[in-house]
Amino acid sequence: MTKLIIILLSAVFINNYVLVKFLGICPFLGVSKKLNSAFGMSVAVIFVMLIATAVTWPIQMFLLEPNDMEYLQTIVFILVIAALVQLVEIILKKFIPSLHKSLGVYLPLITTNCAVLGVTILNIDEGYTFVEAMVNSLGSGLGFVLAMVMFSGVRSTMEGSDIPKSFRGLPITLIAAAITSLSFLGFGGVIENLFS
Amino acid sequence: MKDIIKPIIVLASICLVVTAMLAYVNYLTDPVIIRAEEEAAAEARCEVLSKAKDFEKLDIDGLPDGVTEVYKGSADNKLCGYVILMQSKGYGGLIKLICGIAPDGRIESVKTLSHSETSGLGTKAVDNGSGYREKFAGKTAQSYNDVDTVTGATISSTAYKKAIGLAFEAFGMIKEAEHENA
Amino acid sequence: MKTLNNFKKGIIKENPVLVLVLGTCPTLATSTSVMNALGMGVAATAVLLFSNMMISALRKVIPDRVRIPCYIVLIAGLVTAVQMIVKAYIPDLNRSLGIYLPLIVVNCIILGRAEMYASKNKVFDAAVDGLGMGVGFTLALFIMAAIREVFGNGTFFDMPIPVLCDNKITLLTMAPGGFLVFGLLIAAVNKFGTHKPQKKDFGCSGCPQADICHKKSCEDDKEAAVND
Repeated sequence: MTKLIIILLSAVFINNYVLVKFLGICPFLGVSKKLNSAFGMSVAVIFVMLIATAVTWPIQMFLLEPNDMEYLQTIVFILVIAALVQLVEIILKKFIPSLHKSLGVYLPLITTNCAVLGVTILNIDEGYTFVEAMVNSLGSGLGFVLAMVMFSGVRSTMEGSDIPKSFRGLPITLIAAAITSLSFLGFGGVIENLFS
Repeated sequence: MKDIIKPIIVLASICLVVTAMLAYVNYLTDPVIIRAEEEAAAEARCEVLSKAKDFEKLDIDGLPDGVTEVYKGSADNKLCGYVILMQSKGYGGLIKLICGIAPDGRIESVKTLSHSETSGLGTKAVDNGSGYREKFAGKTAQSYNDVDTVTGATISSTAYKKAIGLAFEAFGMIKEAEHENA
Repeated sequence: MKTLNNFKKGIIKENPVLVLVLGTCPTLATSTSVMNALGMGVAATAVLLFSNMMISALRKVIPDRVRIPCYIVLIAGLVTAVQMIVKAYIPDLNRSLGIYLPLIVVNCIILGRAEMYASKNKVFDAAVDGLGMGVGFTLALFIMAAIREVFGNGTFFDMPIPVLCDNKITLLTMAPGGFLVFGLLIAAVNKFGTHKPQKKDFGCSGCPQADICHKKSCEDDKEAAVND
């Protein structure tokens, strides 16, 4: 149990996908302008990360590894994720239209999101069991939410300020991201020692 | 109908061709990858237990969590010591170490295999050139804890020492197992 | 002449990282040292060159409806091949790039060039375009990595630099330093670049996949931009 909590908290705070590992930067910078869309996007990311892990982990363990085909990992994972996202979108559209309305627009954007492919590959690389892999995916997704929501708050306070001309737009956003990322450095090592 | 069949055929054949190509590249590179990995591992073993010439992998049940592999090192059929591979969690991720312990229980040498500690801070402990690993040479299970942690790299050096503790734990178990066999 | 311009545009006028702001993830993650940056740059350039050539050669065969899956399969295949070669012959580089090596698959520069250029042009032009973009990507990574390694670690290609190696700004090699240096570099490009700063804000509309994915999310973005 302790191990699962450590995995979860490390994924959220220490190895935050966006601010520490630099995965999923595009949506982080692109969709974080408004709180609503930032939140919608991140919920869709958690959703896809969990499903993707639930499908790719068994594929790796029961299909690729017994047949010595680990080298097909990247190609199989990306195709599975792409197909999965399409499938989820169709299912949502048909059966839960209200959810599709709020999440659906973000789903296609996620197919080529490096955070999703990243989490599935890292789960294998770290040698996690199925439960650990799912917990790690959940934690990574939650970390993504945290970073997105925090950052959209930072950006909204930046909105009215007078910014030098060449810094307007992306540069100031990146510098704000640097400061947000700095705040996450403080978590390093804390969680391991909470339980020891 | 043709609108559906053609895309399927094209996509399927592209998948087939790409997979065949990968299988071929894998066939070419796989032996090279395995050889490179084995060479690197053998080199690390020789470095931490310099007197030994032959290494034999030991299978011991119930090794502590974090100890990944243990080897018995010998030269001309004389026992030179044991090589233990262990890992523990540092600041940025797993720190993987390799450690050679002489039969009398003294550390011959320790070496970092891989780590993801912060450059300039955690590396003051885990970098092979930082001088920290030399401080453990000659230490025993009782005295290894006397080595101070490195200022500015507390978490990394604590993890380092924890891994060395694991190595001694494994060493004790190896001795016991060898004793039973003998 | 035309070929030369085609090659040059990827390096300066349409630099994928500094002007088009694509492929930010690998740029930030692998620019901690010059060696890593060059390794990543060369690996991505190789993938980009071959994927552009293959997609251009197959552009008349691939049906429009399944073009994206086809591109993804081709790119993923190339990335895996590159990964295996790196693993076999430069294992140290494989260790330091880690997960970012397989993640070249989702590098938007590669899929973006496939969709925007290679699928519409001849093989030779596509190859030149891919090479130019790849060199531009490598160059941008190299500049970022040089700043981060020289000031953050006091070394250049792992060789210590006097004075600086005793006065390291360690922050620069850590995660926040990546964002910071990247932000400052783009500000510098905006200030001194011959090109006018990009009007479109960095959002969905700036992404090459905007057309691939639902138009709606982009419209939402535009709406938001108008409302601002």
